[in-house]
Amino acid sequence: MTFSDVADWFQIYNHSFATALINAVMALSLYFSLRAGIFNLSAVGFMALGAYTAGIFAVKLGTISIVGITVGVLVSLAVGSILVFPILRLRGHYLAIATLSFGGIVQALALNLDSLTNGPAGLIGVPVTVKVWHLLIIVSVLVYVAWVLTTSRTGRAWDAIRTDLSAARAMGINVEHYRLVSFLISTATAALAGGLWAHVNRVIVPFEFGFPQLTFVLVNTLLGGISHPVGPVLGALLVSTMPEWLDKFEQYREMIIGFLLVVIVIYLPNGLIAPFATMRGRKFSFFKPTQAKPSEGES
Amino acid sequence: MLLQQVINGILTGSVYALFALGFNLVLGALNILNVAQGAIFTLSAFVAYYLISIYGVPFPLALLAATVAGGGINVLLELLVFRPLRSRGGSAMSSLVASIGASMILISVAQLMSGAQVERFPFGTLPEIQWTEFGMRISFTQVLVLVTTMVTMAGTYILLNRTRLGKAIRTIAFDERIARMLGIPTVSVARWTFFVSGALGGLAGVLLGIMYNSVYFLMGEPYVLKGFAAIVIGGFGSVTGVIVASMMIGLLEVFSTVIGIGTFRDVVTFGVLFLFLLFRPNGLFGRDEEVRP
Repeated sequence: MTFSDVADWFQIYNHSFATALINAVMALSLYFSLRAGIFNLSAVGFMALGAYTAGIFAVKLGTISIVGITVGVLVSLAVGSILVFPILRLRGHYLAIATLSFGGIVQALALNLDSLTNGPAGLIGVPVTVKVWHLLIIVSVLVYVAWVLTTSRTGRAWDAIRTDLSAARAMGINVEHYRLVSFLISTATAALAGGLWAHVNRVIVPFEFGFPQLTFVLVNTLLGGISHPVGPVLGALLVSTMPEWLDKFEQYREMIIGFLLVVIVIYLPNGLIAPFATMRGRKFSFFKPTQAKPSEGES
Repeated sequence: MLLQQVINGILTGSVYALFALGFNLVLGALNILNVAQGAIFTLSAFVAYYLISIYGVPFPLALLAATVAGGGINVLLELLVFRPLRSRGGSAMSSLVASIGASMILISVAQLMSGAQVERFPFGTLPEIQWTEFGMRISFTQVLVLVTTMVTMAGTYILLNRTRLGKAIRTIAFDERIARMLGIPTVSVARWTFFVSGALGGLAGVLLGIMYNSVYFLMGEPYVLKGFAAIVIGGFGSVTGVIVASMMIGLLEVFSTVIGIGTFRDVVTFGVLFLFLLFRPNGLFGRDEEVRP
């Protein structure tokens, strides 16, 4: 393969490669939440918020992309810091329901606030300014940040909280603080992914931020596994390039994604990266319940 | 006019109630938040639609078949997804993720079957009768939906409170280990719980499909979120609570249309859901449950 072949390949698959990298950013957003044991399903909602803010700034106000993307992240952080207090008081199914419903609210607003979002038809004409190399840098920086955080005091606190919240509290870890940090980082990352997506895809349609997208993000993150920050990125790249190798099965894509999610959860709960990632020499488990009584569960 | 709106609200509310009851049953007894309930809702509506439009099956029979199909699909999910997950020691959250995946599979089955078309029941599936009383218009379909939902709700209540199966389900909901120690066959009771839950979801799907006369592959999605709202507002595990909450949501939606914010009715519903999560996380009728660590 010569250099020009590679260049051609990039030309042809530019959009899918950019999409794959944005999926990697989304997967990292989920990583930040899951790492701290917060089963946060609101990432898609914040992605929509980031995408629409960036899109509205670019289309209606005509600002340069970085302004819209930054404002999108800030708006999401503002909304996130209001929501974080009620949400983090909840646990288990309640938390899942609240965060899922947030995604529902954002989607309903995007569908109905016609004057801002252009309703079901979608916001059209966002300039394509985000290039693949921008995304490569962003993903690398995020992985680095995630790795630094994970191996730092914060990461150790997250691990403790995820494994056993009460024990973590008993050890003197400021549980509320670390959960808040995790939630807000996750929020900002999701909004960033949304803003970037707006400038890659040209069009923002409300239906893209629904249930299939959530399934997709979950598959990406869990296929790779959250025992190492590279896991979610790996998962996202594998799943996102899947349509390329499964060309004939295009119409079965969603079915395959769903099937993959079920299989991963049952047979590969710690993801592909788990066997390679022995963080500080310890085995990592995510979905396995802790030693608590089964009736209490970990939720 | 006002009375008409109240009736509309109760009608949609009662369909929500059926759906949410199914949700609540599996959640309360087995601690599984089965998101695939929404897909079962859709698939059952399609089963009824195809039986009626292709095979000319009379509506009552199609309704029954679709209800049983809904239960059957849910049992299949239990066998293929939740049982293996449980035996491998998965947590409550992993069942939720698995059900999201299962739901995706079922929805795309419906999409492939229908070619993403919005289907309508053939004319004359139900008699086109309307009564006009006290300035209200009530159609035969509405009466049928109301009667069916009321009977089913009463049936579910009796099943849970007056039968051996109901007693077993409630015991498992209290504590699965204790239930096993008492000799309750927890595996088959769990399977029956899934069946009843799926049947309720399926019935709701067919009734909603015939009420709005439209069946399409994404119809279940909003109901999942409304079901969440109903079980949170009503309180996890409470039958009465869920029914009351569903009616409230139905009325809330109708009245947000009346005061002119109808396009934002979903936002209103979720707003109420958030308020409940914030101030009364155990819902209106919920038993006290340790929510905070």
